[in-house]
Amino acid sequence: MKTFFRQFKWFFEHYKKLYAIGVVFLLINYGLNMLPPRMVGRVSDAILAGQMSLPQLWRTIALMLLIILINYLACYIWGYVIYRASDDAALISHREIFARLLKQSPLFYAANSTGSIMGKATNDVSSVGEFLSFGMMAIFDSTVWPLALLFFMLAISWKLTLGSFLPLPLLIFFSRRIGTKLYTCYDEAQAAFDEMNESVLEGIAGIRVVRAYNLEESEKERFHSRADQLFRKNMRAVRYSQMYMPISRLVPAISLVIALALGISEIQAGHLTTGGLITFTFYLNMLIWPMMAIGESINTGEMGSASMQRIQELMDQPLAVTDSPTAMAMPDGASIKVSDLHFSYGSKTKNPALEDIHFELGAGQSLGLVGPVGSGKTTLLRQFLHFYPLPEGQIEFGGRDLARIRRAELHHAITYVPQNSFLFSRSIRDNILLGASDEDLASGRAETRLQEVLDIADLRKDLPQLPQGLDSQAGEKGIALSGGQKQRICIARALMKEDSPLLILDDCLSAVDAMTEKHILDALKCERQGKSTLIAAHRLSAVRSADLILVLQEGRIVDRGTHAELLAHGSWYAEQYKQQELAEGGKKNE
Amino acid sequence: MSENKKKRPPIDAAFRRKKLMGYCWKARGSFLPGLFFEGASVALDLFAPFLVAEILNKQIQELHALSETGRLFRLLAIYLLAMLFSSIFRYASGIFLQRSANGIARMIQLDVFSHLQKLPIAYFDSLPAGKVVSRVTNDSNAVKLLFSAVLVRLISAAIYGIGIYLTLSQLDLRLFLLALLPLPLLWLIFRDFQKKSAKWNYAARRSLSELNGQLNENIQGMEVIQSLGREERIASDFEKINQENYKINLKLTKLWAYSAFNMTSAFEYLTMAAILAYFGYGSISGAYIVPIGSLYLFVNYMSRFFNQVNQAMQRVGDLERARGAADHIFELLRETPGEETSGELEPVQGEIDFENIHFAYIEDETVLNGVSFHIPAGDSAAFVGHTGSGKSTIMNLLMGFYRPESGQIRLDGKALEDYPLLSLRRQMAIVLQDPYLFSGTLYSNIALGREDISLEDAEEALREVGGAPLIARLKDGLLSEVREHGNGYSTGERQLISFARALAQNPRILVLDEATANIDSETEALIQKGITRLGQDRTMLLIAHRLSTIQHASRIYVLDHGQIVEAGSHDELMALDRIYAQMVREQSRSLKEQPA
Repeated sequence: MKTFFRQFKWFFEHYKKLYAIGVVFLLINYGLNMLPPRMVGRVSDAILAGQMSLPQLWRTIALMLLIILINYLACYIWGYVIYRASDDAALISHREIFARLLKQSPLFYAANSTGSIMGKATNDVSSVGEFLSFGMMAIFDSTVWPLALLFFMLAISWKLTLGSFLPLPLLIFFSRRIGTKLYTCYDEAQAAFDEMNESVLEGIAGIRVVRAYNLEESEKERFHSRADQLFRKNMRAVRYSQMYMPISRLVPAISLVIALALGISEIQAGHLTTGGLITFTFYLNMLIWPMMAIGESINTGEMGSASMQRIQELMDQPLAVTDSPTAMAMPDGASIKVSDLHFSYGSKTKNPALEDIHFELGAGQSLGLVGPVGSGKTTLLRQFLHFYPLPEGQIEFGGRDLARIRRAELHHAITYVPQNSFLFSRSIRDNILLGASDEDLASGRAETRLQEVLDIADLRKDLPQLPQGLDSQAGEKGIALSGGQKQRICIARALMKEDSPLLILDDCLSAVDAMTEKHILDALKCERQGKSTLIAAHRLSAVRSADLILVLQEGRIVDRGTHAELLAHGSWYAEQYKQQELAEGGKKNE
Repeated sequence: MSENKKKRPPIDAAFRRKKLMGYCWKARGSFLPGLFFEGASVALDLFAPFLVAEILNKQIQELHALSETGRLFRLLAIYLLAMLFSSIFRYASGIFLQRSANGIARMIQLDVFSHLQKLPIAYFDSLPAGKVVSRVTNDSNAVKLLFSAVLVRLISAAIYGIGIYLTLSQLDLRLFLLALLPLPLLWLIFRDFQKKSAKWNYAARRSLSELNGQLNENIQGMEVIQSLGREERIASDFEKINQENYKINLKLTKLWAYSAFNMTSAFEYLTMAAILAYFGYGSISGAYIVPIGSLYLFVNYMSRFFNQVNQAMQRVGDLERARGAADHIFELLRETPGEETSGELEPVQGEIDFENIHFAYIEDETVLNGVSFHIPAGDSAAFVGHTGSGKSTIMNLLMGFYRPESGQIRLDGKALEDYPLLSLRRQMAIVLQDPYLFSGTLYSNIALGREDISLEDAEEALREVGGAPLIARLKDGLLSEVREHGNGYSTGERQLISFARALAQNPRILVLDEATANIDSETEALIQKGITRLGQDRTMLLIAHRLSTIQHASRIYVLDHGQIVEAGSHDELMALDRIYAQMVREQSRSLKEQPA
């Protein structure tokens, strides 16, 4: 219980005032709920005994109407305030989860799939909200409310109360049992639904293969069994969910029978009035929900707590990289010295991703990185962004230990185009402007720069073909852009940052054609006189003019030199070069 | 093709109703018993309070009668029995009605899915895969909700309402009129709730999916955000959506607070006040007599009625969504299926003729503009050209995925449309740019359910196209698992598997559509061998971006803006020194040119 409250302390502290208001009005609501049935009973007795006049009757009715009105307002207030807790909880959790995500490194994203993060940010957040709103109300409804009812019922007759309470624990028992059963049933039904979804997606995405190989019938059969499976799982859940209603009727009916049997004999004995019995039956009816609420509040509490724990685990995963308190400013200059760099993605992977890397690059020079898939090119480039934990002394940037440069400043000093050309669901213009600083956006410099980078990234020629030019929508729901266009937009976006001492291109020209690649590399050379550049590439043409080329294999440098030197070595590089030359159809073009 | 281009009118209400009724009728086996039990349960529910009223009345009017406690216990026993059967009937009705709803969902799913299998490929080009999937799964689920939650609740509320008012009208006309009083107000509140909840539920779903979409996207683009140092800007963009979502949810919370349960429970109390006034006035003034039992009965009935209204309110917000989902489904089912037939077919030779073919996917955007060529049986032809020049369209037409607008495609001298298309495809194979793998095993992906392809055949096919290293890598050989989308296999490996698939089917005609687009040069060398093996003994069409893969084709066609502008062997075209030669030079220039 203690840990339970510690889990939700963050919210209770934030929301305590509103909760207090909610609870006050909930209690007012409880109190006022008791009055109308009581009045009905009292008035009936008075009338039956001939002790009430018409004006008295009207006064009572007027009072009753007033109570009903106040009660409705109280219901509105607590209803709004307590249910709002789930909205507030969602607002805060989404904000905090996202803030945390923005600080996490690629290591975190390798360990946590997007799907699992999304699950926590959506389903778990909503079940936490469910507990903090509905669950909180259910806790009061299942404790304070039945106690209040009990008090009023005891005031009418302790015998009746005792007798009619006997069957009620059955409600608690059943609602709890059904609740837990249902929980697993719904889980299974959801899993069957997801499976069906996945299988349909597969069949649709591969529809050309399905058609070309005449797989329609077997696809139908496969789907048929999935649909049957889903039907069965759903019906299993139905078998339990449909028990709620009958049980919530039957058990109170038993209570009522006991109350009536006892009640009549009590009336005959003169211990109870008819009105009292009527009031009592109303109260008995009011007890149904609190009994169910006990089970419900336990269920939502358990689910909310489990969800909160999952969210907490996500939030508690340590940041792989943080600025040390002694972190320093970004120095001037862009020379690079890498000495004895080792890196491994974690203890689980046997082979280190990078081993014994060392090289030097003067300011204004360029480095080419080549090697087969998985040789460590991207890993090496990402070290410069300090995305991963980096021991001190392995990389020097501008003469200062890179591990001790403040990361925000480091990122500001580097223009980085990642391998995966990712575009956001915004217009192409807004995608590119994402690269502009706030100052540039404010001063209008961003607009001028935008025109410049369109030329450098050789994008201008594509604009007339796009339906709305620069304002065409990109990203998932946007227009279909070719791989080359995406890569060039990403380059333009990165280049919005001017005058950065270091440019990193991670195989981001692989999908553009040879002419365009040349345009871009030439324009970059022009624009970035005296600045350093790191380029990783599959196509050797992109690195040919680099001052130093490193050939990586399984995380080690296996060869180094200029283009001419490497060709002379006659190793992997020369072989690749020959093969690519052949592949590009050069042999006839002597 | 042309009839698909016309914009169809939206589904009208009568049509939708008719269709839904149709499904209902098909599910009558469980739907009608469900209704019957529902009715029986309601009848008992309404009968039982009579017994209580009777007891209360007796107790007042004939005090001595109650000394015969035997009668009292008999009444109580009947009451309990009535409630017991009402509960059993309710459970039965719940099961039957839910069974019919789930059954209807299942029918819709099967109908939609098998209809999809018949729709022309054009349909899938016009709608993203995610949306098509959603038609089968999410929309059918929403329609199920329409039956299981909305309809069942509304029907149950209606049966209750009718039962209650009918009983009251028989019991006491004045009570009946009293019970009618709250109806207009209740109707207004119900409508208000229905309208607002439909509107805001929709808005809330939209904003939530927007929020999730943003979150998802930002997670995927995290590297970009961090390297650009734009964390704050992205966080503030996200916060805007978060706030927007919050505001809409607050509106819903407010709606629930002032309407729904709180409102109906206020009505319950108002009923108590009203019946008390009625009962009290009659008794005190002596104008009329109301038995105390009727007071109990009236409050009991009305509270049941309001409870039903409340439950109907909880669900009515979903009505709009279910309607939208039903329309999506019926729009899909209304799409005309392609006319694809199967029948006896001798093995074809594989001689292909395209004669003056014109074609457009979208009206006025011509893709092929008078294309003619001839490929002798067993020969190979390659098609090159820039993106959008119409290369892939040739494959789409040859496979019969689309029909040309004018011109004729002939196979072995006979018009393509005279062939039973499904049987013909059995003699063709394609390897696509995106080598698609199904979940299952490597073997199932190569054999594709054909029983005449044994495990050994499949393995041999994979070896022949150069897959020996892949087989060596895998512990379980060809029985290794393939998960969704072929995760766990590299692009090159997936390509090899799809080559093996094509080879194992031993087609007469093979189409390779940009099969080597996304592969590094090492893998390409491997695959090149596979292609050479595939090309033996059959007609092969190559559609390629990389010119190196097509140099060995006997004839190369250069497409530009939907027309064949050059044709010939590699050497001939190089000698011609026009577009093809320029393309070859362009691709090689980057390597040849020495650094400046």
